[in-house]
Amino acid sequence: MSSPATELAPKKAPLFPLDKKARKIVTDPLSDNNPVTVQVLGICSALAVTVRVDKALVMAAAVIAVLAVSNIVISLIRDKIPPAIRIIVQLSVIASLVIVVDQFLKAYMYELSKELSVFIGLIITNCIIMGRAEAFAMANPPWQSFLDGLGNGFGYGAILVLIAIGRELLGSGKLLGFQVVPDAVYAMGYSNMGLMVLPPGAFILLGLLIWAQRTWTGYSEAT
Amino acid sequence: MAFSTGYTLGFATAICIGCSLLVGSAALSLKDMQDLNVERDLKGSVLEALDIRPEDGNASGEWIDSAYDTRVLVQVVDPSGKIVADKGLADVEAARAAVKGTDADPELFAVYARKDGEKIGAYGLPVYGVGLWGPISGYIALEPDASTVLGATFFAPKETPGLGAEITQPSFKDQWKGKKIVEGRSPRSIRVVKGEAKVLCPGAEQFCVDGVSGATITGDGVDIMVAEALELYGPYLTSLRGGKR
Repeated sequence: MSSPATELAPKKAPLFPLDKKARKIVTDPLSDNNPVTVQVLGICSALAVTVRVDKALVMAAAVIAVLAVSNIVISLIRDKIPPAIRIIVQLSVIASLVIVVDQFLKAYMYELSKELSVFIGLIITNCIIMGRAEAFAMANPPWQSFLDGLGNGFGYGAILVLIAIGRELLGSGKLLGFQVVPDAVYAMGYSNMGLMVLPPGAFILLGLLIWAQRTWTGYSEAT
Repeated sequence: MAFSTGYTLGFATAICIGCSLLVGSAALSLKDMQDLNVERDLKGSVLEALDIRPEDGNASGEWIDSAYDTRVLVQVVDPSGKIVADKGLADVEAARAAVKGTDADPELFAVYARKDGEKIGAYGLPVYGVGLWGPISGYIALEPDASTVLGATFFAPKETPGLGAEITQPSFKDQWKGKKIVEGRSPRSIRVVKGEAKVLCPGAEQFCVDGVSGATITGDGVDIMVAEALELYGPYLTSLRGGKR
């Protein structure tokens, strides 16, 4: 004999679900709702650190780490944060995490951290991170927030690396520091595109990426 | 749910303490590692300026430490050009700190000499100046004749990337090789000119390098920095050239 109450009671939800909904949280920002190409956030760093692939990779890893952890932390304390000071609380958490990441880079990847210079610190002001904290982590449990952070981080990182591949390949004829354009091609009169090393090169590539991606997903702002 | 003012203040304090603990412990626990990196970075830049390079092209931390210890001879020089044997780099730093923010010249300065076996193969002079946004620095390496530039290295941590910061790039640095700092028997500095040295310094190309377009003030900073350093080291360099003034 089963009472209606036990039937209606929801099954105890797994603590770390990996069902369709959870997967969607991760995959959505990779393409359909990409923070860079669809929401057009985080453009500053996408232009600044994409001259070389190794810089873009480190930047992407740093953003993924900060975004995932800040989402978890904010989500854990989301019910305790007084709404009046929630933005500054989010900012404090994010800023602390960014400083920690910066310290780690200075200790273990000194050369790259020197070249990335202020841009690691500027992750604090990256709209994606505060945006996800405010829009997602404040309203969702930690696990989902973590997945959301990963998804958005990788979505951002993927675009960064794509742009960096284009810029390093066309601008320096290299990938990850290794020459990929053979000397024979240079001998035939090919030369590196200086424009790609400069910020406008990133603008152009980013524009093309946004165009290609929106054509592919059929996304349009004028709906 | 409403939060009282007391709760809000308490919460803010708790967040502040939590964040400071996190940042503080990270900074403290990684400090040794970071200091080692900074030290190796400095040594590495001295080695680079003196044209000491690893045979396999891989400047590992261990290589930097051993190459610096075996190949680099640090000399401390006073304004009269004499080598002060009993002073070290720490004294040079102290002398520099003592005149910081003033126009006075430091009482002691360093020379990094490259040991090629028994002989000295190059002299590296550290130079310090001011760019557009902040301090710039570098090394001017001289051939044993103390008249010809072997190479130059510059650091411009605050300068604009793509403009002023281009002075750290090979396109600017490589021009310095082979330039002269003496004309006949008298010292002469190297100018950073706006435009092409070939056009602007007819007949005196060995005293001119091309500045970076869009980085006039940084270029002027390099110009002044090198001129001041050559004046400071003048007596020492004259003695190296084996001559009296």
